[in-house]
Amino acid sequence: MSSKNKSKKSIKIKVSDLSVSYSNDKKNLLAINDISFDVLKGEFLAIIGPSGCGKTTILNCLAGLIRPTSGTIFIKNSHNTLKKQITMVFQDALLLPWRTVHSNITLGLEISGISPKNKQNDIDKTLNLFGLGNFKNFYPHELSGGLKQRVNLARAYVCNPEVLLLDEPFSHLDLITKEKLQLELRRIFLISKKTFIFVTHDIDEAVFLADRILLLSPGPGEIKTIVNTNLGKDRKVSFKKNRSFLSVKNRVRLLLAQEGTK
Amino acid sequence: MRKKELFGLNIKLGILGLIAFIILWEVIALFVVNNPLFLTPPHQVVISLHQLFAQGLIYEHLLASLEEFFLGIGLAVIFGVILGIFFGWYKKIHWFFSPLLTSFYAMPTIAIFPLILIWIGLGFWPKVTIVFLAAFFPILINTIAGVRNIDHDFIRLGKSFGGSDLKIITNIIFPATLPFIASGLRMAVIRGLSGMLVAEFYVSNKGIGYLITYFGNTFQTDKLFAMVIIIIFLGLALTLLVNFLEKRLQAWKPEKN
Repeated sequence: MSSKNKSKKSIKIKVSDLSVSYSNDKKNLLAINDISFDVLKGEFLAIIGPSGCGKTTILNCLAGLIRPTSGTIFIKNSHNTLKKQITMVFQDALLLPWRTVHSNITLGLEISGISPKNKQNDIDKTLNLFGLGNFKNFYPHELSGGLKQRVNLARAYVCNPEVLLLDEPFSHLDLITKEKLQLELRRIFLISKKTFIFVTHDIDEAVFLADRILLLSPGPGEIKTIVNTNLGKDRKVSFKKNRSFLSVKNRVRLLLAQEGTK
Repeated sequence: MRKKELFGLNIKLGILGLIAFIILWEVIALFVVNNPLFLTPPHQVVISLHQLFAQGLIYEHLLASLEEFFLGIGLAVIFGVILGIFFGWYKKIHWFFSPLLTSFYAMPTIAIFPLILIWIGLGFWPKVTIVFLAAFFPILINTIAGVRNIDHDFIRLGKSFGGSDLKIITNIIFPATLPFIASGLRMAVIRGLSGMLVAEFYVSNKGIGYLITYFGNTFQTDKLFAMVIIIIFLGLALTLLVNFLEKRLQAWKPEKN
Protein backbone atom coordinates (compact mmCIF):
# COMPACT_ATOMS: atom_id res chain seq x y z
CA MET A 1 0.00 0.00 0.00
CA SER A 2 2.78 2.28 0.91
CA SER A 3 4.50 1.80 -2.44
CA LYS A 4 1.23 2.62 -4.20
CA ASN A 5 1.11 5.92 -2.44
CA LYS A 6 4.71 6.68 -3.24
CA SER A 7 4.09 6.11 -6.91
CA LYS A 8 1.41 8.83 -6.90
CA LYS A 9 3.43 11.43 -5.08
CA SER A 10 7.05 12.43 -5.46
CA ILE A 11 9.49 12.45 -2.60
CA LYS A 12 9.83 15.86 -0.95
CA ILE A 13 12.27 15.02 1.83
CA LYS A 14 14.67 12.11 2.02
CA VAL A 15 16.19 11.39 5.40
CA SER A 16 19.07 8.90 5.31
CA ASP A 17 20.87 7.26 8.22
CA LEU A 18 20.15 10.16 10.54
CA SER A 19 21.73 9.92 13.99
CA VAL A 20 21.87 12.54 16.69
CA SER A 21 23.69 12.26 19.96
CA TYR A 22 23.76 14.79 22.74
CA SER A 23 26.84 15.01 24.85
CA ASN A 24 27.51 16.81 28.07
CA ASP A 25 30.59 16.68 30.32
CA LYS A 26 30.65 12.96 30.92
CA LYS A 27 27.77 11.34 29.11
CA ASN A 28 27.02 10.78 25.46
CA LEU A 29 23.35 10.15 24.80
CA LEU A 30 22.25 8.73 21.47
CA ALA A 31 18.86 10.32 20.85
CA ILE A 32 18.10 8.85 17.43
CA ASN A 33 19.93 6.09 15.66
CA ASP A 34 20.25 5.51 11.91
CA ILE A 35 16.83 6.78 10.96
CA SER A 36 15.86 6.75 7.29
CA PHE A 37 12.51 7.70 5.82
CA ASP A 38 10.94 9.62 2.97
CA VAL A 39 8.35 12.34 3.18
CA LEU A 40 6.12 12.61 0.14
CA LYS A 41 5.20 15.92 -1.39
CA GLY A 42 1.83 17.13 -0.12
CA GLU A 43 1.36 14.35 2.42
CA PHE A 44 0.48 14.59 6.09
CA LEU A 45 3.03 12.54 7.98
CA ALA A 46 2.64 11.99 11.71
CA ILE A 47 5.55 10.93 13.87
CA ILE A 48 4.48 9.11 17.01
CA GLY A 49 6.25 7.36 19.81
CA PRO A 50 6.69 7.34 23.57
CA SER A 51 8.45 10.16 25.43
CA GLY A 52 12.17 10.32 24.75
CA CYS A 53 12.07 8.51 21.41
CA GLY A 54 13.50 11.50 19.55
CA LYS A 55 10.39 12.84 17.80
CA THR A 56 11.25 16.47 18.44
CA THR A 57 14.91 15.83 17.66
CA ILE A 58 13.95 14.69 14.15
CA LEU A 59 11.84 17.82 13.71
CA ASN A 60 14.66 20.05 14.96
CA CYS A 61 17.03 18.44 12.46
CA LEU A 62 14.55 19.06 9.64
CA ALA A 63 14.14 22.67 10.75
CA GLY A 64 17.90 23.13 10.80
CA LEU A 65 17.91 23.88 14.52
CA ILE A 66 20.10 20.87 15.33
CA ARG A 67 22.99 19.52 13.35
CA PRO A 68 22.79 15.74 12.98
CA THR A 69 25.74 13.76 14.26
CA SER A 70 25.62 11.74 11.06
CA GLY A 71 23.32 11.16 8.12
CA THR A 72 21.78 13.43 5.52
CA ILE A 73 18.57 15.30 4.89
CA PHE A 74 17.78 15.97 1.28
CA ILE A 75 15.03 18.33 0.26
CA LYS A 76 13.85 18.21 -3.31
CA ASN A 77 13.97 21.44 -5.32
CA SER A 78 15.94 22.92 -2.52
CA HIS A 79 17.67 25.86 -4.09
CA ASN A 80 17.42 27.89 -0.94
CA THR A 81 18.54 26.89 2.51
CA LEU A 82 16.60 24.36 4.53
CA LYS A 83 15.16 27.03 6.76
CA LYS A 84 13.47 29.04 4.04
CA GLN A 85 11.55 26.03 2.73
CA ILE A 86 10.52 24.81 6.12
CA THR A 87 8.89 26.54 9.06
CA MET A 88 8.16 25.11 12.44
CA VAL A 89 5.19 25.30 14.77
CA PHE A 90 6.33 24.84 18.36
CA GLN A 91 4.61 22.99 21.17
CA ASP A 92 4.15 26.22 23.15
CA ALA A 93 2.57 29.01 21.16
CA LEU A 94 5.56 31.29 21.92
CA LEU A 95 3.69 34.46 21.08
CA LEU A 96 5.55 37.67 21.77
CA PRO A 97 3.45 39.34 24.49
CA TRP A 98 4.12 42.89 23.26
CA ARG A 99 2.88 42.15 19.73
CA THR A 100 -0.74 41.95 18.63
CA VAL A 101 -2.05 38.87 16.82
CA HIS A 102 -1.41 40.62 13.50
CA SER A 103 2.17 41.53 14.27
CA ASN A 104 2.86 38.15 15.87
CA ILE A 105 1.83 36.57 12.59
CA THR A 106 4.18 38.83 10.64
CA LEU A 107 7.15 37.96 12.88
CA GLY A 108 8.42 35.19 10.62
CA LEU A 109 8.23 37.43 7.58
CA GLU A 110 10.06 40.25 9.34
CA ILE A 111 12.80 37.94 10.59
CA SER A 112 13.17 36.48 7.10
CA GLY A 113 13.68 40.02 5.80
CA ILE A 114 10.30 40.27 4.02
CA SER A 115 8.34 43.46 4.59
CA PRO A 116 4.82 42.64 5.86
CA LYS A 117 3.55 45.62 3.84
CA ASN A 118 4.29 43.72 0.65
CA LYS A 119 2.46 40.65 1.95
CA GLN A 120 -0.64 42.31 3.38
CA ASN A 121 -2.91 40.30 1.11
CA ASP A 122 -1.35 37.00 2.23
CA ILE A 123 -1.52 38.09 5.87
CA ASP A 124 -5.23 38.93 5.62
CA LYS A 125 -5.93 35.63 3.85
CA THR A 126 -4.05 33.72 6.56
CA LEU A 127 -5.87 35.58 9.35
CA ASN A 128 -9.18 34.58 7.80
CA LEU A 129 -8.07 31.03 7.05
CA PHE A 130 -7.24 30.48 10.71
CA GLY A 131 -10.35 32.29 11.96
CA LEU A 132 -8.35 35.15 13.43
CA GLY A 133 -9.83 38.04 11.45
CA ASN A 134 -11.70 39.42 14.45
CA PHE A 135 -8.74 39.04 16.77
CA LYS A 136 -5.97 40.70 14.79
CA ASN A 137 -5.62 43.62 17.21
CA PHE A 138 -5.73 41.47 20.33
CA TYR A 139 -2.68 40.84 22.50
CA PRO A 140 -1.71 37.25 23.44
CA HIS A 141 -2.87 37.68 27.05
CA GLU A 142 -6.35 38.40 25.72
CA LEU A 143 -6.54 35.08 23.83
CA SER A 144 -7.62 31.59 24.85
CA GLY A 145 -5.21 28.66 24.54
CA GLY A 146 -6.88 27.54 21.31
CA LEU A 147 -6.60 30.97 19.72
CA LYS A 148 -2.96 31.22 20.74
CA GLN A 149 -2.28 27.97 18.92
CA ARG A 150 -4.12 29.27 15.86
CA VAL A 151 -1.79 32.28 15.86
CA ASN A 152 1.15 29.91 16.29
CA LEU A 153 0.03 27.95 13.23
CA ALA A 154 -0.78 31.08 11.21
CA ARG A 155 2.63 32.59 11.95
CA ALA A 156 4.36 29.60 10.37
CA TYR A 157 1.83 29.29 7.54
CA VAL A 158 2.04 32.91 6.36
CA CYS A 159 5.70 32.42 5.47
CA ASN A 160 4.38 30.15 2.72
CA PRO A 161 6.75 27.25 3.42
CA GLU A 162 6.70 24.10 1.33
CA VAL A 163 6.91 22.00 4.47
CA LEU A 164 5.30 22.75 7.83
CA LEU A 165 6.74 21.04 10.89
CA LEU A 166 4.37 20.80 13.86
CA ASP A 167 5.73 19.81 17.24
CA GLU A 168 2.77 18.65 19.36
CA PRO A 169 0.97 21.98 18.94
CA PHE A 170 -2.26 20.78 20.56
CA SER A 171 -0.81 18.88 23.50
CA HIS A 172 -1.67 21.59 26.07
CA LEU A 173 -5.27 22.05 24.94
CA ASP A 174 -8.50 20.65 26.33
CA LEU A 175 -10.16 17.85 24.35
CA ILE A 176 -12.91 19.96 22.75
CA THR A 177 -10.53 22.70 21.57
CA LYS A 178 -8.07 20.04 20.45
CA GLU A 179 -10.64 18.27 18.27
CA LYS A 180 -11.79 21.57 16.80
CA LEU A 181 -8.24 22.50 15.88
CA GLN A 182 -7.54 19.04 14.48
CA LEU A 183 -10.45 19.54 12.11
CA GLU A 184 -9.23 23.02 11.19
CA LEU A 185 -5.71 21.76 10.60
CA ARG A 186 -6.92 18.96 8.37
CA ARG A 187 -9.03 21.46 6.40
CA ILE A 188 -6.08 23.83 6.02
CA PHE A 189 -3.84 20.94 4.98
CA LEU A 190 -6.22 20.01 2.20
CA ILE A 191 -6.55 23.61 1.00
CA SER A 192 -2.85 24.38 1.15
CA LYS A 193 -1.50 21.25 -0.56
CA LYS A 194 1.65 21.68 1.53
CA THR A 195 3.61 18.92 3.21
CA PHE A 196 2.85 18.60 6.93
CA ILE A 197 5.01 16.70 9.41
CA PHE A 198 3.24 16.43 12.74
CA VAL A 199 4.80 15.12 15.93
CA THR A 200 2.46 13.81 18.61
CA HIS A 201 2.18 11.20 21.33
CA ASP A 202 -1.59 11.04 20.89
CA ILE A 203 -2.56 7.98 18.79
CA ASP A 204 -6.07 9.29 18.17
CA GLU A 205 -4.68 12.58 16.85
CA ALA A 206 -2.08 10.91 14.64
CA VAL A 207 -4.60 8.56 13.02
CA PHE A 208 -7.17 11.32 12.54
CA LEU A 209 -4.77 13.76 10.91
CA ALA A 210 -2.18 11.77 9.04
CA ASP A 211 -1.90 9.96 5.73
CA ARG A 212 1.04 8.00 7.08
CA ILE A 213 2.29 7.44 10.61
CA LEU A 214 5.92 6.90 11.44
CA LEU A 215 6.22 4.89 14.65
CA LEU A 216 9.34 5.35 16.71
CA SER A 217 10.72 3.12 19.41
CA PRO A 218 12.66 4.67 22.29
CA GLY A 219 16.17 4.54 23.66
CA PRO A 220 17.68 5.37 21.17
CA GLY A 221 14.92 6.45 18.78
CA GLU A 222 14.59 4.10 15.85
CA ILE A 223 11.88 3.59 13.26
CA LYS A 224 9.66 0.70 14.24
CA THR A 225 7.38 0.82 11.25
CA ILE A 226 5.44 3.15 9.00
CA VAL A 227 1.65 2.76 8.97
CA ASN A 228 -0.39 3.93 6.03
CA THR A 229 -3.77 5.12 7.38
CA ASN A 230 -5.69 4.91 4.07
CA LEU A 231 -8.58 6.81 5.59
CA GLY A 232 -9.36 9.12 2.71
CA LYS A 233 -9.39 12.87 2.63
CA ASP A 234 -12.67 13.87 4.20
CA ARG A 235 -12.55 13.50 7.96
CA LYS A 236 -14.99 14.76 10.57
CA VAL A 237 -15.09 14.31 14.34
CA SER A 238 -17.77 11.62 13.95
CA PHE A 239 -15.24 9.84 11.77
CA LYS A 240 -13.47 8.81 14.97
CA LYS A 241 -16.25 6.26 15.55
CA ASN A 242 -15.73 4.80 12.09
CA ARG A 243 -14.61 1.16 11.99
CA SER A 244 -11.65 1.78 9.71
CA PHE A 245 -10.46 4.61 11.94
CA LEU A 246 -10.71 2.40 15.04
CA SER A 247 -8.97 -0.42 13.26
CA VAL A 248 -5.95 1.76 12.35
CA LYS A 249 -5.92 3.21 15.83
CA ASN A 250 -5.88 -0.24 17.43
CA ARG A 251 -3.14 -1.35 15.10
CA VAL A 252 -0.96 1.61 16.03
CA ARG A 253 -1.75 1.12 19.71
CA LEU A 254 -0.75 -2.56 19.53
CA LEU A 255 2.47 -1.76 17.74
CA LEU A 256 3.38 0.84 20.37
CA ALA A 257 2.32 -1.48 23.21
CA GLN A 258 4.56 -4.23 21.83
CA GLU A 259 7.40 -1.77 22.10
CA GLY A 260 6.45 -1.02 25.68
CA THR A 261 6.59 -4.69 26.70
CA LYS A 262 9.83 -5.39 24.92
CA MET B 1 -14.44 49.85 45.11
CA ARG B 2 -12.62 48.81 48.25
CA LYS B 3 -9.30 48.85 46.37
CA LYS B 4 -10.07 52.40 45.14
CA GLU B 5 -10.81 53.52 48.67
CA LEU B 6 -7.57 51.97 49.89
CA PHE B 7 -5.67 53.71 47.09
CA GLY B 8 -7.21 57.06 48.09
CA LEU B 9 -6.27 56.44 51.71
CA ASN B 10 -2.75 55.60 50.62
CA ILE B 11 -2.35 59.01 48.95
CA LYS B 12 -4.08 60.89 51.78
CA LEU B 13 -1.79 59.32 54.39
CA GLY B 14 1.27 60.11 52.24
CA ILE B 15 0.29 63.78 51.97
CA LEU B 16 -0.49 63.87 55.69
CA GLY B 17 2.99 62.48 56.47
CA LEU B 18 4.59 65.13 54.27
CA ILE B 19 2.62 67.95 55.92
CA ALA B 20 3.50 66.59 59.38
CA PHE B 21 7.19 66.57 58.43
CA ILE B 22 7.06 70.18 57.17
CA ILE B 23 5.25 71.35 60.35
CA LEU B 24 7.77 69.52 62.53
CA TRP B 25 10.62 71.07 60.55
CA GLU B 26 9.06 74.56 60.93
CA VAL B 27 8.53 74.10 64.68
CA ILE B 28 12.05 72.77 65.31
CA ALA B 29 13.62 75.51 63.14
CA LEU B 30 11.66 78.32 64.82
CA PHE B 31 11.40 77.20 68.44
CA VAL B 32 14.15 74.64 69.08
CA VAL B 33 17.13 75.56 66.89
CA ASN B 34 16.11 79.17 66.32
CA ASN B 35 19.12 79.83 64.08
CA PRO B 36 18.29 80.16 60.34
CA LEU B 37 21.96 79.79 59.46
CA PHE B 38 21.89 76.30 60.92
CA LEU B 39 18.34 75.23 60.05
CA THR B 40 16.19 77.44 57.82
CA PRO B 41 12.44 77.10 58.41
CA PRO B 42 10.51 75.79 55.39
CA HIS B 43 8.54 79.02 54.82
CA GLN B 44 11.87 80.86 54.39
CA VAL B 45 13.05 78.14 51.99
CA VAL B 46 9.92 78.70 49.90
CA ILE B 47 10.61 82.45 49.80
CA SER B 48 14.22 81.84 48.73
CA LEU B 49 13.07 79.36 46.10
CA HIS B 50 10.69 81.98 44.72
CA GLN B 51 13.47 84.59 44.70
CA LEU B 52 15.84 82.28 42.83
CA PHE B 53 13.31 81.79 40.05
CA ALA B 54 12.02 85.39 40.11
CA GLN B 55 15.54 86.79 39.75
CA GLY B 56 16.19 84.37 36.91
CA LEU B 57 19.55 83.34 38.36
CA ILE B 58 18.66 79.69 38.50
CA TYR B 59 17.76 79.14 34.84
CA GLU B 60 21.26 79.43 33.42
CA HIS B 61 22.60 76.96 35.99
CA LEU B 62 19.70 74.57 35.62
CA LEU B 63 20.13 74.55 31.87
CA ALA B 64 23.89 73.89 32.15
CA SER B 65 23.28 70.95 34.52
CA LEU B 66 20.51 69.48 32.38
CA GLU B 67 22.67 69.73 29.27
CA GLU B 68 25.47 67.75 30.95
CA PHE B 69 23.01 65.32 32.42
CA PHE B 70 21.00 64.50 29.30
CA LEU B 71 24.07 64.23 27.08
CA GLY B 72 25.73 61.85 29.56
CA ILE B 73 22.58 59.77 30.07
CA GLY B 74 21.84 59.71 26.33
CA LEU B 75 25.30 58.38 25.51
CA ALA B 76 25.03 55.87 28.39
CA VAL B 77 21.72 54.55 27.02
CA ILE B 78 23.08 54.19 23.47
CA PHE B 79 26.33 52.46 24.45
CA GLY B 80 24.85 50.58 27.44
CA VAL B 81 22.04 49.03 25.44
CA ILE B 82 24.12 48.16 22.36
CA LEU B 83 26.97 46.65 24.38
CA GLY B 84 24.52 45.01 26.83
CA ILE B 85 22.75 43.19 24.00
CA PHE B 86 26.10 42.26 22.46
CA PHE B 87 27.47 40.83 25.73
CA GLY B 88 24.17 39.14 26.54
CA TRP B 89 24.02 37.51 23.11
CA TYR B 90 27.67 36.43 22.89
CA LYS B 91 28.13 34.94 26.34
CA LYS B 92 31.76 33.92 25.91
CA ILE B 93 32.72 37.54 25.20
CA HIS B 94 30.72 38.51 28.28
CA TRP B 95 32.55 35.94 30.39
CA PHE B 96 35.84 37.43 29.19
CA PHE B 97 34.85 40.96 30.24
CA SER B 98 32.72 39.99 33.23
CA PRO B 99 35.26 40.60 36.06
CA LEU B 100 36.14 43.97 34.55
CA LEU B 101 32.50 45.03 34.17
CA THR B 102 31.56 43.90 37.68
CA SER B 103 34.51 45.80 39.15
CA PHE B 104 33.63 49.01 37.33
CA TYR B 105 29.97 48.63 38.30
CA ALA B 106 30.91 48.24 41.96
CA MET B 107 33.26 51.24 41.89
CA PRO B 108 31.83 54.68 42.78
CA THR B 109 32.44 56.56 39.54
CA ILE B 110 33.43 59.75 41.31
CA ALA B 111 36.55 57.94 42.59
CA ILE B 112 38.13 58.29 39.15
CA PHE B 113 37.06 61.91 38.65
CA PRO B 114 40.60 63.25 39.23
CA LEU B 115 41.85 60.86 36.56
CA ILE B 116 39.18 62.07 34.15
CA LEU B 117 40.29 65.63 34.82
CA ILE B 118 43.89 64.68 34.02
CA TRP B 119 42.82 62.92 30.81
CA ILE B 120 40.15 65.31 29.54
CA GLY B 121 40.90 68.57 31.31
CA LEU B 122 38.48 71.10 32.75
CA GLY B 123 35.20 72.27 31.26
CA PHE B 124 32.03 70.66 30.02
CA TRP B 125 33.21 67.19 28.97
CA PRO B 126 34.60 65.78 32.25
CA LYS B 127 31.17 66.37 33.82
CA VAL B 128 29.43 64.66 30.90
CA THR B 129 31.94 61.79 31.23
CA ILE B 130 31.13 61.36 34.92
CA VAL B 131 27.38 61.27 34.20
CA PHE B 132 28.03 58.82 31.37
CA LEU B 133 30.15 56.48 33.51
CA ALA B 134 27.74 56.64 36.46
CA ALA B 135 24.79 55.80 34.22
CA PHE B 136 26.45 53.43 31.75
CA PHE B 137 27.10 50.47 34.04
CA PRO B 138 23.61 50.03 35.53
CA ILE B 139 22.15 50.16 32.01
CA LEU B 140 24.77 47.75 30.67
CA ILE B 141 24.44 45.24 33.53
CA ASN B 142 20.63 45.33 33.40
CA THR B 143 20.55 44.92 29.63
CA ILE B 144 22.85 41.89 29.85
CA ALA B 145 20.58 40.41 32.55
CA GLY B 146 17.56 41.11 30.33
CA VAL B 147 19.04 39.30 27.34
CA ARG B 148 20.01 36.37 29.54
CA ASN B 149 16.53 36.21 31.00
CA ILE B 150 14.81 35.65 27.65
CA ASP B 151 13.20 32.25 27.25
CA HIS B 152 15.53 30.35 24.93
CA ASP B 153 12.53 29.04 23.02
CA PHE B 154 11.92 32.55 21.68
CA ILE B 155 15.42 32.54 20.23
CA ARG B 156 14.78 29.08 18.75
CA LEU B 157 11.61 30.47 17.26
CA GLY B 158 13.56 33.31 15.63
CA LYS B 159 16.17 30.89 14.33
CA SER B 160 13.49 28.59 12.94
CA PHE B 161 12.54 31.39 10.55
CA GLY B 162 16.11 31.48 9.34
CA GLY B 163 16.71 35.04 10.47
CA SER B 164 20.08 36.69 10.99
CA ASP B 165 21.26 37.50 14.52
CA LEU B 166 20.50 41.17 13.85
CA LYS B 167 16.91 40.42 12.84
CA ILE B 168 16.40 38.25 15.94
CA ILE B 169 17.93 40.95 18.12
CA THR B 170 15.78 43.77 16.73
CA ASN B 171 12.53 41.79 16.62
CA ILE B 172 12.78 39.64 19.75
CA ILE B 173 15.73 40.40 22.01
CA PHE B 174 15.53 44.21 22.20
CA PRO B 175 11.78 44.47 22.89
CA ALA B 176 11.96 41.63 25.42
CA THR B 177 14.80 43.42 27.22
CA LEU B 178 13.01 46.77 27.53
CA PRO B 179 11.70 46.23 31.10
CA PHE B 180 15.27 45.48 32.23
CA ILE B 181 16.62 48.51 30.38
CA ALA B 182 13.99 50.65 32.11
CA SER B 183 15.09 49.32 35.53
CA GLY B 184 18.69 50.10 34.63
CA LEU B 185 17.69 53.56 33.44
CA ARG B 186 15.88 54.29 36.72
CA MET B 187 19.07 53.47 38.62
CA ALA B 188 21.17 55.33 36.05
CA VAL B 189 19.16 58.53 36.43
CA ILE B 190 19.83 58.75 40.18
CA ARG B 191 23.49 57.73 39.81
CA GLY B 192 23.95 60.16 36.94
CA LEU B 193 22.38 62.98 38.91
CA SER B 194 24.70 62.31 41.88
CA GLY B 195 27.72 62.14 39.56
CA MET B 196 26.75 65.41 37.92
CA LEU B 197 26.37 67.19 41.27
CA VAL B 198 29.66 65.99 42.68
CA ALA B 199 31.50 66.88 39.46
CA GLU B 200 29.98 70.37 39.61
CA PHE B 201 30.98 70.72 43.27
CA TYR B 202 34.62 70.45 42.28
CA VAL B 203 35.22 71.86 38.84
CA SER B 204 32.52 74.17 37.69
CA ASN B 205 31.42 77.74 37.62
CA LYS B 206 27.97 76.78 36.41
CA GLY B 207 25.29 74.29 37.31
CA ILE B 208 23.22 73.24 40.29
CA GLY B 209 26.17 71.57 42.01
CA TYR B 210 28.20 74.76 41.68
CA LEU B 211 25.34 76.83 43.18
CA ILE B 212 25.05 74.42 46.11
CA THR B 213 28.77 74.80 46.87
CA TYR B 214 28.56 78.56 46.40
CA PHE B 215 25.58 78.97 48.76
CA GLY B 216 27.22 76.62 51.27
CA ASN B 217 30.52 78.52 51.22
CA THR B 218 28.74 81.85 51.63
CA PHE B 219 26.48 80.52 54.43
CA GLN B 220 23.25 81.21 52.50
CA THR B 221 21.55 78.27 54.16
CA ASP B 222 18.05 79.23 52.97
CA LYS B 223 19.18 79.12 49.32
CA LEU B 224 21.11 75.91 49.98
CA PHE B 225 17.89 74.30 51.19
CA ALA B 226 16.11 75.72 48.14
CA MET B 227 18.69 74.04 45.89
CA VAL B 228 18.18 70.73 47.71
CA ILE B 229 14.44 71.05 47.06
CA ILE B 230 15.18 71.67 43.37
CA ILE B 231 17.39 68.56 43.25
CA ILE B 232 14.65 66.48 44.90
CA PHE B 233 12.11 67.69 42.35
CA LEU B 234 14.56 67.09 39.51
CA GLY B 235 15.18 63.52 40.68
CA LEU B 236 11.44 62.94 41.05
CA ALA B 237 10.68 64.43 37.63
CA LEU B 238 13.34 62.30 35.95
CA THR B 239 12.13 59.14 37.69
CA LEU B 240 8.55 59.95 36.64
CA LEU B 241 9.78 60.50 33.09
CA VAL B 242 11.38 57.03 33.09
CA ASN B 243 8.18 55.54 34.53
CA PHE B 244 6.15 57.29 31.84
CA LEU B 245 8.45 56.01 29.07
CA GLU B 246 8.32 52.51 30.54
CA LYS B 247 4.52 52.60 30.61
CA ARG B 248 4.34 53.88 27.05
CA LEU B 249 6.67 51.15 25.83
CA GLN B 250 4.74 48.49 27.70
CA ALA B 251 1.26 49.73 26.92
CA TRP B 252 0.37 46.19 25.88
CA LYS B 253 0.68 44.90 29.46
CA PRO B 254 -2.61 44.01 31.12
CA GLU B 255 -3.69 46.22 34.02
CA LYS B 256 -3.15 44.44 37.31
CA ASN B 257 -6.50 43.40 38.84
